[in-house]
Amino acid sequence: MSQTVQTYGASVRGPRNQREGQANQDAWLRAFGAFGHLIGVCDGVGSRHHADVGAQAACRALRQAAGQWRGGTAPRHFVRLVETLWRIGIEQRDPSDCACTCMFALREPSGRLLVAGLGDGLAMIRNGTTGLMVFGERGADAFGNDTLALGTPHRVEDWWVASEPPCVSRAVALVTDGVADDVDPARRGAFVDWLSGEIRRLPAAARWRRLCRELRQWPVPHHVDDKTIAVMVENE
Amino acid sequence: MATLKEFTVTAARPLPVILMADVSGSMAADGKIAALNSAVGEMQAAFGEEDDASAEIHMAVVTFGGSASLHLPLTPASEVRWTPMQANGMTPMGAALDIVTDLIEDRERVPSRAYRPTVVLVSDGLPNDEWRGPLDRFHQSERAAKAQRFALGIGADADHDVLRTFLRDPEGRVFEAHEAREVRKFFRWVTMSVTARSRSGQPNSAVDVEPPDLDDLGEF
Repeated sequence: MSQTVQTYGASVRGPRNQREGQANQDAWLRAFGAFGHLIGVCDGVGSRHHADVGAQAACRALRQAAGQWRGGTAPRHFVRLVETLWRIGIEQRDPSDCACTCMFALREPSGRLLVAGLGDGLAMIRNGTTGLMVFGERGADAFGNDTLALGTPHRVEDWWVASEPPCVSRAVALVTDGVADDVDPARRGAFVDWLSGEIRRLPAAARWRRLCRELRQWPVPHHVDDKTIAVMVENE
Repeated sequence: MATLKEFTVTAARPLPVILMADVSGSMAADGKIAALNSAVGEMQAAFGEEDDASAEIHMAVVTFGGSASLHLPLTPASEVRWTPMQANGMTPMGAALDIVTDLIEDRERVPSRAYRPTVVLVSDGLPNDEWRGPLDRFHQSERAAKAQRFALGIGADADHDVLRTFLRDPEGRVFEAHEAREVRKFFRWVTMSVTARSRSGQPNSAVDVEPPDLDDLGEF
């Protein structure tokens, strides 16, 4: 039986950028092609002058890297490709002015899933047989908004990288820290189930509107960040 | 039909402010403890009224006088019922440093979604317990070492070398207060620094509101 893969997501400006008349500094993408299916979320570091440009360039770099990707290669090579393409994508700008986090999930045609990220945000993978896997948790010494990013000093080894084998049924949710920091750790599994169940079943346009509305009506006091979610669901 | 509210926490991101207050017997002289209580009470009230912020300011107070103890557990400033501190005994600053390091290292009390804490050390004398080891532990703690730090020496007997070592910043400045008015001004400055951070786009970064001199803050 063949598998279907659905990808969707949404991103909204947070109250701080609305108040200050700034652009959304998060960006996200969904794409498919010969490389398989790809989703990504990128979060421009708030204080940087071109953070929005950096986040958009990171999404473009992910798409370009996927276009050049040959399945079965070591995942870290994909990360190196993204780093290089991002530097090209920001053109002559100072990389530190464009600093942004970057996280993606690439499902190859073989069914293998590559997931990787640099900086804040979470990747949550709901696998029918192994429960919930979470990647990108903050380091033991870190505090909120204390992040590694493209355009700040780091090594390729600072990316977390995971490779998962093909799976009959799987949901992947990538979220920027504006979402990740406020999702109750004990409710992460239920959150992914909601995204891959109730939300997925909506028609595409209604799904996008519903996600945007939910993100705009964020229920946590004093929240300020932009908020972004990207989802990939595989089903038989 | 579910909504996001079912999956999120209900509390705002905290910005912890931890006061380490010397309440040794010498603080009872010259109205120092009264000035400190008054200034901390004003700071707490200002934090509690702060609603234009990216974070919810939480306060804790660790006292050292006779023994070291958690006078006020980490609590949202708007919920604090301030109990004045009493002065007596010696100056066990080392024990107080251990309490503060343990507090910041405890990810239940200071979660990773919290913003970088602020630690304010106020003393009018010399520590009389073993403080170098606890201070090294504070500086070597991955989380505590990231704290924004302020230091105030009250009166002529304050040990500025200890306070400077606490700051561990070549550009850091130990403030001096010789009268109640200056204690109040120092805490007003700390209040301004913390609220500026909490309102900024990046509450983890220090916001430069440092006055060249406490006198430059004027009357409040």
